[in-house]
This record gives sequence, C-alpha cells and structure tokens, in this order.
Amino acid sequence: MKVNLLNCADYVNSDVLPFKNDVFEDLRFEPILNTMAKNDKFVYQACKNIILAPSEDRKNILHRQDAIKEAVAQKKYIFQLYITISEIFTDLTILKNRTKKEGNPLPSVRVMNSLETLDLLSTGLEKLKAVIVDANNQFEPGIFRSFFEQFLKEYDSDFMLLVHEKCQTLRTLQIGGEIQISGRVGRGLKSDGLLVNSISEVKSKRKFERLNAILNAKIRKNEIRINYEDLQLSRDCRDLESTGLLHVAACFEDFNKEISRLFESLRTQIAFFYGCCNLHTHMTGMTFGLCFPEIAEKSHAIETDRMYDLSLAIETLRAPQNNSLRGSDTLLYIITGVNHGGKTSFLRAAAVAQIMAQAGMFVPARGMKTGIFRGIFTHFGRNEDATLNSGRLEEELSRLSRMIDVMKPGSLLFLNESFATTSENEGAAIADDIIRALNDNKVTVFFVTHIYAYAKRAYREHYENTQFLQTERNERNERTYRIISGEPSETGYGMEMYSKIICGIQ
Amino acid sequence: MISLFEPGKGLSFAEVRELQEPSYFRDLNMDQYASFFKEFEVGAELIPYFYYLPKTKEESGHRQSVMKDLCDHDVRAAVNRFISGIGVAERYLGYSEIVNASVQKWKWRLDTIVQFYSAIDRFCRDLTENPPKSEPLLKLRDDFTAYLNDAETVKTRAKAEEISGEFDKMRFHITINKERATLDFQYSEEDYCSSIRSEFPRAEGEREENSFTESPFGDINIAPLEEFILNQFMKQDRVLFRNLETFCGIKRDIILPEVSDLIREFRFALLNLEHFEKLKNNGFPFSFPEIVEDREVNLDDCFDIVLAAKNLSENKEVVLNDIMKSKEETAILVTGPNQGGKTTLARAFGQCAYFGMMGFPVPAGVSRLPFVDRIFTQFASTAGNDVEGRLEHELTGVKAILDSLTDHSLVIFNELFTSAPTMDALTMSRALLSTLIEKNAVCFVVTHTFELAFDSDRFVSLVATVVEDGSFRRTYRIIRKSADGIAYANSIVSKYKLDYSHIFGRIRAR
Repeated sequence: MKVNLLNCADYVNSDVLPFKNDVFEDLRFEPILNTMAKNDKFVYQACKNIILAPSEDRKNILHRQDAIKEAVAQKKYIFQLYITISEIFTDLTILKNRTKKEGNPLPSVRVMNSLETLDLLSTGLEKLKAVIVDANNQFEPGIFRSFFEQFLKEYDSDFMLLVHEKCQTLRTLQIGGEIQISGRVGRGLKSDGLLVNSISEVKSKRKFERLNAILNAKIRKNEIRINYEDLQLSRDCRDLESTGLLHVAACFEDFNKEISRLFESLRTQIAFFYGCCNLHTHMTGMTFGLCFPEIAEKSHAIETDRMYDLSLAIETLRAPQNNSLRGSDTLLYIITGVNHGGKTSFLRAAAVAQIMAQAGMFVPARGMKTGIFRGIFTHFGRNEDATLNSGRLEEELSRLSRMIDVMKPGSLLFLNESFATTSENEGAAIADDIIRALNDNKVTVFFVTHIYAYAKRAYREHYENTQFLQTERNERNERTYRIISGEPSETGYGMEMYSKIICGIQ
Repeated sequence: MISLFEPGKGLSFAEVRELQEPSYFRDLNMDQYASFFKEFEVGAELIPYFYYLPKTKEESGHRQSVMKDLCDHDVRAAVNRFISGIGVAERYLGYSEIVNASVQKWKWRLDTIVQFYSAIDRFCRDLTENPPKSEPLLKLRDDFTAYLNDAETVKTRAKAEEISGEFDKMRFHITINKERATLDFQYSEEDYCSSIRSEFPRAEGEREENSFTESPFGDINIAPLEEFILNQFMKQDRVLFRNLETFCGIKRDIILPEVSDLIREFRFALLNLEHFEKLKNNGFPFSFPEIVEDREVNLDDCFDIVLAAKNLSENKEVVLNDIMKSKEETAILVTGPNQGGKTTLARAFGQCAYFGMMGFPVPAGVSRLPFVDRIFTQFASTAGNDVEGRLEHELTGVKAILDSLTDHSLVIFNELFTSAPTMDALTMSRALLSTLIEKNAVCFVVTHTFELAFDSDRFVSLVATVVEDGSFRRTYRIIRKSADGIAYANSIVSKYKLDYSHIFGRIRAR
C-alpha cells in the first residue's frame, strides 16, 4: 500500500527550488533543522529533503497543513510511531550488513536469508500494527485516521496468518520437497520459458510406494526416468532445481521489497511530522508566534503580521524583531538602510516563511497570507570571500544567469547585495535592466541593496508595483532592527563605519 | 543494392575500411572526437566512416535528409529495432559456427534465417506505419519490401518458418525430488510464482516475467539434460529433424553482406547523433545547416565539440561564438591575443563545415554553410627544431593544398609563418590569400599579422577579446571587430545574456 500522508510524489518532483544548496546556505536552515531533528540524522535529512521541495499545488499544501495540524495535536503518538519504525530499521540494517558479508552465497542460503527478512518484516508489521491500533482511537477523523484504517484493513489478521503459513511451506521445502517445472525448446534447441508449476512436500515413503503401485502402469507409459547415476544429468537436475527454488524465493523478495518500501516511505513521512512536532514544541515553548498561512489561489501578494527570522530566534533565544509586510500588487521590494540594521534578517524571514508555507508547514509569524510561487531563488552576494577581483562580478552574474535559465514567470527572487562588485553607476544600470526584465515577466523581486543610485532612481521615477523599505531608527538615531516603509535615504553607512572604526564613536 | 547515405552508390564496408584519415582530421581535433567511438563495443570499426566526405551537394543533402529522419522519434525507434533485430540474427549465426552438436548448428542457422527475415519485415512495417521523409530511407524500405516479396525469398522464408514452427511446439515437463527425476510431456501453464504473487501484495510497476530469468544451462551448447530431452523429441518426430538437416545442413549466406554494411552506417549515424543529443541536453546548441551554393557563412553560437565534451565532464563553461560572412565577403580573418580562443574558433568552424557536409547537425545554434567538397587545414607547425625547417614544412603543406584545390574548397590556416620575419609573413600571407580568393576557396585565417585585416573591406575581421580591466584576462569571446569602447561589466552582462531583452525572452519562453 502507499503512504500518502504527505502527498509525496509531489515533493519528489518539485522544482520550486532548483538551487537547493544556495537556498540552504543563504537562508541558514541549519538551526531550524537542528531543532526539528533533535540529533536524529534521519529526521534531519528527511525534513531537509521535504522542506527544500516546496509544492506548487494549493490543494497539496492545504492537505499537508491539515496533516501537520493533526500531528501537532497528537505529538505523543507521532513520537511512538517514529520510534517503532526506527527500531524495525535497526534490526533490518543488522541483517542486511550480515548478508552483505556473505557475498554471493549458495542458493539455499539465499533462500534462508530471504525467509529471515520475511520474518523480521512480519514481526515489524505486527509491532507497527499495535501502535496504530492505539493511535487510531485517539486521532480525530482525518488524514491520519484514514491512513490507519487503510493500514489495518490491508494488513488484517488473515493476511498476517497467510504470511506465517507461507513461511512454513518454504521451510519444509528447504528440508526436501518436490518441484515441478515446465519448459519448451527454444532458439538453438536450448530450453526456454522455464516455469515452476508447483512445489510440494514429498509424501511419506510408504504412502508414496502405495501410490506408485496403483499408478504404475500409467506412470511407465508417460514418464521417462532421468537417470541420476549419470553424473552429468544429475548435476543438471540439481542446477535446475536450485534455479527454480531461487526463482520462487524471489517472489517473496518482491513482497519483502513492498513491505520495506512501505516502512521506508512511512519512516520518512513520520520523521517529517516528528520534526514539525519538535519545532512546534520548541517555538511555542518560547511563546513566539507560529501560524498556518492562508494560501491565496491566484494572487502573488505576500502579507505578513509580525514575521520574524526563525533561525535567529532559535539561536538568540530572544524574540527577534517582528516585521509586517503588506504587498497587494507589489512585484519589487527595494530594501535599503544601514549595515547590521536587520535587512538580511528581514530577507531571510520572508524567504523562509514563503518556503515553509509552500512546504505546507506553519510559518514564523502571527499571521500570513501568501500566494504560490513557481520558483524561489536566493542570490546573496558572496561578500565573505573578500578578495576584490574582476572575477567576482562575473561569478555573480553567471550564478544569476544559471538561475534565469530555469526561472519561470511567477517566480520569487531574493537579491541580497547583488551587483555590488562593480562601480555604483554600472551596478545600478545592470540592476535596473535585470530587475525590470524580471518584473515584466511577473517575477517578484526582493532587493536588499546599497546601490543608492538605483534605489533613488526607482523612487524618483515612481516605479510601478514597487515598495520601498528601509531600516528603522528610533528618536536617538539607534537601530531598532525593524524594517519600515519609506523613501530610500543615503544612509552614510560608510561614514558611520568610518566614525565607528577610525574615531571610536559608537 | 542498398546504402543509407547514397542509394546505389555507397561504399561497401570493405572499401570504407581502406580509407585513410584525412589530413585535416588532427588539426580539427576530429581524431579526438572520433575516438569516443572506441568506447562502444562495435564502435572502433566504424571510425573509417568519418574519413569519407560527400562529393556533391546532392549527396550531402541526402545524408542530411536521412539524419533528419533519424531525429524523428518513431523512425529512430524503428531503426534501433532493426539494428538490434539484425544483431540478434548475427549472434545466432555466430552461435551456429561455434556450437559442437551438428543438430544444434542447423537449428541456430534456421533461427538465423527466421530472425533475419522477420527483422527486415518488421522494419518495413515500421517504416510504413511511420513513413520517413528522406528519399534514401524510402528507397531502402521499398527495396526491402521488394526483396521480401521476391519469389525465392518467399519460398525460403515459408519453409524456414514452417520447420521453426514445429520446433516451437515442443514442450516438456520435469519433476525433481531427492530420489528421482522424471521427464514427461504434460506441459503445464500453472505458475507457482504467480499464485504466490496473487496472495501477496507486490511493489507496484514491477511486472517481471514469471519464467526463469537466469537459465540453469547458460552455455549456448546443449547441456546433457537438454540433450536427453531432445533425444525424446527426436524419437517422436524423426522427419522433422531430417527436414532440418536438409534445409540447414549446408552452410549458406544467410545475412546479406549489404545489410551488415547498412547496419554499420546506421550505427555510425546514430552514435554521432546520440553524442550530439547528450551535449544538446546539457545546453549546447545544434542545428541542421542550410547548405548554400554561394559562399555565405552564418553560424550563431558555434563551439568546438571536443572542447565542449571535455569541459562538460570537468564542469567548465564553454564560450559560444558567432561567425558571419556575406557572400560578397571573401575571407574570414581572426586576430587578437594568444590563448584568446582563436584556434578553438578555427576548429569550431572546421567542425561545423565538416559535420554539415557529412549531413549531421552542426555545433551551432543557427547555421548556414557553403557547400565544400574538400577541407584543407594547415596549423602552425611544431615539426622541425629550427626556424627554417618549420617554415619549410609549412610551405610544403601550403603548396600541396594549392595543388589540390577544387572549386569548392574550404581552407583553414592557423598562425602560419610565425617563424618568418613579420614583413615576410605579411607578404607571404597576402600572396597566399589572393591566390585562394582567386580560386574561390572559402578562407578562414587565424593570423598574428593584424595588418592583413586592413587589406580589403571584403575581409571579415574577427577579434579575440580580453577583459578590459588591465589584467587582459581572456574572455574566449571572439567578436566582429567594431569600436572597442565596450565597458568590462557590459561585456560580461552580454556574455551571460543578462540584458533586458535576453532575460525577458529567456523567461517568457517557459
């Protein structure tokens, strides 16, 4: 059976984030994932894979929101489910490692291994069933409940009995049974299309003889005895028998595969819910707001109420500066202001919230209403490698060009200090050209920049669908780390830094 | 009877095998390109097919029409089926030559015959269902159809299928346990595995054959048990086995040699096309060129195909360049700093011309090329230790080229006469160019004597550009020389196609 708690097919095929690594680094997902994983590497990876594969499908997103709401309401059972599946996997790994050491074993050993796996899986299935029976009573009707019920129906007691029986048959076959094989003469007179007709226990010797006596005449007429004393013939018969046996064992391997796959996909999905529960507990414990965003059907407007930078909140354990965003028709947000004034943090907050929203999760804000973007990109200036050389602009632009290679209309791009590696005028010209072309293709752009020449021109010429945001200062001219709307002003951040560093003024 | 490239006229494989590597091959790095064929089991023997350049525009056109057909999904599938069908027949024939038992030898021969006809038959039916557009492929189909309908063929095929059908009816059943094994003929369709599978849910989408995938008697010779079984059948129907012997007892030519040659031509074409497609899927443009009589050249975004494959594996970028020459213009001259991509461009140009004439798509986004029947190259010589020796070597090469020029020649010179004093080099180059132009050759000249470019306003001048930041870093971008006031940043912007109209178009396209 298929586990569809998350609508997985969608996240595997997602191409909303074509540059996952950039996004992961730029937006600092690490602390968020650590909180979700609580040192469990598998949970970490599962959450990373799922969050970094946001959906473009509104129905899908809402489905996940519902599933996560259900999970968060029953954290205890999600935890139990996860632990149970993890234990099954530990056992399976031990067996797998052992059989790996055996290399290429004899057919009979291979059949034995196949049986042992079957045993482990059916025991695992029983254990899981026990937890699910428990949980089924607690969950409200919904996504989890219907999964549980489907599971219990699929793997009911009749089925478990059948598995048990087949294991027994195969065991007796190991001890000594009879195999019937049909075939035809194929190309080049080689035998072809060999088919195992049946496998059965040999009747007890006496019974067999009696039967023989009765059917003697008939048998002699139709059957030709293959002489075991001919060593070549007897060897061929042995080979034929063990190949047939292996072929049958392979059928059970198919079943093994199916159950292993069920466990695997359930493990990944439950790990994600488990991670969501952990994050939820952590954040609500610190009384920071979380909300499930409202997903608009067609609009690309992003509206947030008291949104914050999630990784910063996790790391500083303090309530980070809340920002709100109103963006009905906005295609371009130009964010200017002093260094360390919270611009990057603001950009991260918005980007992370949007990605989590499209992953069907709750978001770090009191309220959010947003649309669905077909692609989300981050282009952060790599300011860290401070060597100023002519290759940097080239590196930046080629990186951007690779993004544009796969960008679709209706995407979202976060530019952080891009085009700053050339002169201000050149940078402004490049930025203007690029951003206009993007906006005209319905690509929404957040642009954190120091290119004042650009911001000023955009403001003076009343660029359409553009919002101007900047870092706030209080009455004492101190940074509040909030982002507010307003005319871009020449901040003199250079002078500020000069004063700070050269003159020692804070 | 049949040839893919030039119906009625094509070279047989025996003739192709005798061809020598042309002299331009190494200069254009085509030897490196061709060497990828060696990675394939049957590839190495196909390399001589590279050495034959079509002689007429019509021949090139035929090839191109075939290649276009081969790019069609259905035709490609039909051809692949045909190749593997004939491959199977060839394999059977091979078995017939190495097995020990005579009766098995005959049966492999019989199977070869049946397989051979059915592969051709299938091919004809496939090409009737999805007809190709090119004349050679249509002719091929019709020739094959006529061959199959030939009275002699019909008779042989019917006989082969009759005997083969009798063998296909042979069924047996074996029971094995520890004490004994018995053989009878109560063949049963009952499948133990499918009964297990019906009781157990299965992983979806994995329908396996229920018969054994690994045969216990892997060898192509019959195993003792198989022989045992066969003897029983022989006792039952001696006539059938006698018929087999009469029909296949004597060795005969089963697979027409022309068909084996044809398969080689198909393989040659497909290996190239597949290689191009691999690059194409990684963003490199390819196009079928329009082949013109006049000497107009238009290549958008062309590149060196060998460098592209190499850089792709190393994850490095390749710069694409444009080459344009109107029919009035007489020569293309490339100047600029060393290591600026000039030689690469010369190769790219030569490769485009080469693949274009061979009927293949060329490594360029848009392409128009003049028809050429000979390609000549002379790249700066490294032969000879002393200066005079080198110059002499070069001049001997040039002389040979001048002597063999045709009315449709392409000549690519790369950094000639570097060992001569500049004034001498200039004078020699001038003389050489005017001779070539007189002879109507398409000239592509990479030269360090930039004065040459000023000689005529009918020369196309291309210049390898450098980054204008004082570092003289190479861009590998070669542009038609114009006023050089372009700022560094803008040149990068246009290199990455990040100006307004490019971005707009790039995103809008999705």
